[in-house]
Amino acid sequence: MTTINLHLQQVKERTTESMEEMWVNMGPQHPSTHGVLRLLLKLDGEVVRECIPYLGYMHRCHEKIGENRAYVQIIPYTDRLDYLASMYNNWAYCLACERLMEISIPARAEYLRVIIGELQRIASHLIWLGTFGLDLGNFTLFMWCFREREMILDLFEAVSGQRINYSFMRIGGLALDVPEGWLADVKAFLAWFTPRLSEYDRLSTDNIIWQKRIQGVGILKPEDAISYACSGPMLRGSGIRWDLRRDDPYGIYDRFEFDIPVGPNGDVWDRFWVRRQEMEQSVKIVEQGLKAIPPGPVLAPVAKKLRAPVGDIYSRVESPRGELGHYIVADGSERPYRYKVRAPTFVNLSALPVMLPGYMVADAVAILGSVDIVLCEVDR
Amino acid sequence: MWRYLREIWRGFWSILLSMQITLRYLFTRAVTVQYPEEKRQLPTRALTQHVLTIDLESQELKCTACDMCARICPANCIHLAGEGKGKARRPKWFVIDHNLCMYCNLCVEVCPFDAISMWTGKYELGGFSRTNLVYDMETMHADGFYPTIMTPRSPPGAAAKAPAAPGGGKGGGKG
Repeated sequence: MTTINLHLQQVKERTTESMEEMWVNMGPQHPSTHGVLRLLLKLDGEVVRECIPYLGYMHRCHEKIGENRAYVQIIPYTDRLDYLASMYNNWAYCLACERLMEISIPARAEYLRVIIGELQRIASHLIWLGTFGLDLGNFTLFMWCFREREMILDLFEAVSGQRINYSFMRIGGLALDVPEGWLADVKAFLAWFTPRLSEYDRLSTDNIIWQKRIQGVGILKPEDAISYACSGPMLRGSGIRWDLRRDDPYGIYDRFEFDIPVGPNGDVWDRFWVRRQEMEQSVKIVEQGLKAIPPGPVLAPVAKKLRAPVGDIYSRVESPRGELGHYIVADGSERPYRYKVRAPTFVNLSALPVMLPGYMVADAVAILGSVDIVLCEVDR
Repeated sequence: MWRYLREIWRGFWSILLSMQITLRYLFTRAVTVQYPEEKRQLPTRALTQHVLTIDLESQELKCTACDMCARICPANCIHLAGEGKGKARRPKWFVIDHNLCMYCNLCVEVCPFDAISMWTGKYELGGFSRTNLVYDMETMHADGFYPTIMTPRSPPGAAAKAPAAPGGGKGGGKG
């Protein structure tokens, strides 16, 4: 009760400025927020003047749980952070542990990680494209994107046995080798998927209504994007060519050739177009990986009871949403002394109050959609 | 005025173009499955209900109650107690609370005797009470061969006789 009263009081103080303007809650239960995010919007008619995001509805003490688990036991919990790109969370965490414990992983595992990771990027961007289409009223795109995503989930299920929370990567490599014929299935999927991209284009990108809806909306200037520490497609949409796969290569990304698409204007359209092109680049990376993958083991010989030497590590990967970092402080025991996750969507969401003012409420839905938030990762 | 009308016409025209693309899908097969009547074929590795595997000749549980699975479980949902000493050690009782299980497969990977498996294909686990999801030794006792990490396809003796594992690792990319 006190919290509600406090909020009401804050709102009342703000409403005294003008009778024309009013404060409206968007969320916590709003279909466009993809979870429980509460945006407090100051509206002048239909135009947004100010925005305050309220977070924390899904806080689950992920980091504190991690400090009470052995290193290998944290892997299933990292799935639950960004459930649309679980493989990337596994990867980021395992990479941090491997760097901390100085474990080098077999070549086949490195290649499989890249292949699986890029498939996961495609799946994550597909979900984003689908739900973004849904926010803008393009329901067909949503169904189509989910159809292709299901195929990637089928591939992942054949590998790890799970469809969402894979827990597939281990400290020192992968849990299992891929089943027979799986790499051929990936190739068949890519052959099916590449023409589908141009189909999405004909349905949405070339559609004049789609273009008018998102062009010139929600502009994030490059200097704002940097000062708010945005990363991933948010930063690249603003015209800054920054991709950790190229600028701070982890794994074996320095062996692959790919472009980093950027957008010139920093509006919603650019962020959409960057993600749409990244899917093509991911296809390219997977194809290169399939060609070069060597045979061999997938798990380095590691001790059953993993103990990290005293020290700390911050390791980051380019997840589909941006820079996903894991910070681990080890005190020599079986458990991390301190464990912290740098969630890309949490940081990207903080730029929302810069992007929203001056646009309509209907555009707010598109702008929020273009940030690509996953609330489980934001709140952790 | 003309510009306004032209904009409307362009929007209308692009909708027609989109409809033309979607129209083709009216005549293709649906990708969905009508669930209760029709069932998806699961790949071998699909993680479902736990099973305690048996030695096919002696029909006895392979488990030796070494407590490794219970110790590695992140959700702490495996509880067991053993009886007997040395090679004769067997579990007295063995309980897995599937309400808490995260399906991470760590218990299976850590097992030195291949005595527990999640590749059973039993995924219809719904019940009317929470206790329905708490499995004990009787409900988890294997009634035959189940694929495990060490023997993913067929029982070790009967190699190449019957393709026991359903799906055979084929999942996606069917187009």
